[in-house]
Amino acid sequence: MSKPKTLPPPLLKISISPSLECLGPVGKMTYAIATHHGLSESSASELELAIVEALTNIVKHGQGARFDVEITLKIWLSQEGLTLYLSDSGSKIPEQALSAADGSVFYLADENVMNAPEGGMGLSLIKALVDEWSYTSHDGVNTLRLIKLREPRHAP
Amino acid sequence: MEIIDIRHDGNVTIIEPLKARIDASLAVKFKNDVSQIISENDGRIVLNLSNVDFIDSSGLGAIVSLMKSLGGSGNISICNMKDPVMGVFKLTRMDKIFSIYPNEEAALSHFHN
Repeated sequence: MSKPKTLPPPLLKISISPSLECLGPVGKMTYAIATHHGLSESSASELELAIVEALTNIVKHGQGARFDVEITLKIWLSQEGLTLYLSDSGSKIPEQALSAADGSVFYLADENVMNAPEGGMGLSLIKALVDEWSYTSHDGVNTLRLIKLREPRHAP
Repeated sequence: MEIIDIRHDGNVTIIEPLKARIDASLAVKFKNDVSQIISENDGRIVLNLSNVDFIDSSGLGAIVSLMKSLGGSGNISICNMKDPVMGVFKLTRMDKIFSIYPNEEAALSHFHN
């Protein structure tokens, strides 16, 4: 399910305000589309969380002092599942943060809550919640591509 | 606007979020409100998540922060987690850190026994 050279028109394309108030509506909409398209409730919940984490990253970390950041969500359907493109004109995610998001934040040396993370989990969560992801930044536009399949390729 | 309900069972404080979603738009207020309650009571807390359908890493971080604020002198037991919420705890391995119970009665027994 790699990206075709020319994508057909998306099922849905929406512009999102750079505000945390958008998290609930966009998350619920994503869940509704995913379940309507045949994903299990569990998979739809995972996709909902992934898009909420991604939007939170843009609004909290990628926006800086700018309030004119443009955020666009496009959703494609296929027989295999859903493909989401979340684009924004804010600050791009640093390479270091992308490479560090390997899930190690969840593996503590012990089970002491004092060592548990209070933040920095978002990118690792996104990676763990979807079947494919990629992140590109060109000409001031950052694009996170997420793919969630109806049937996971690997058992969770 | 109240976002949590507070009850007491002996010296245990039961905190029940009234919102269905604890995400980044609510996490700071949730943490501040619960922190205030903790400061006014014993650090024996049951967090009843029966109304919560969705939690993200910001909400999770708020709960971790509250647990840390107890400094080992108290505990937060969590109960009534719905599947998507439990899924986040498991994925982030927070289920290894928190005492999680299927219902409020079981969570209370953690403190009363």
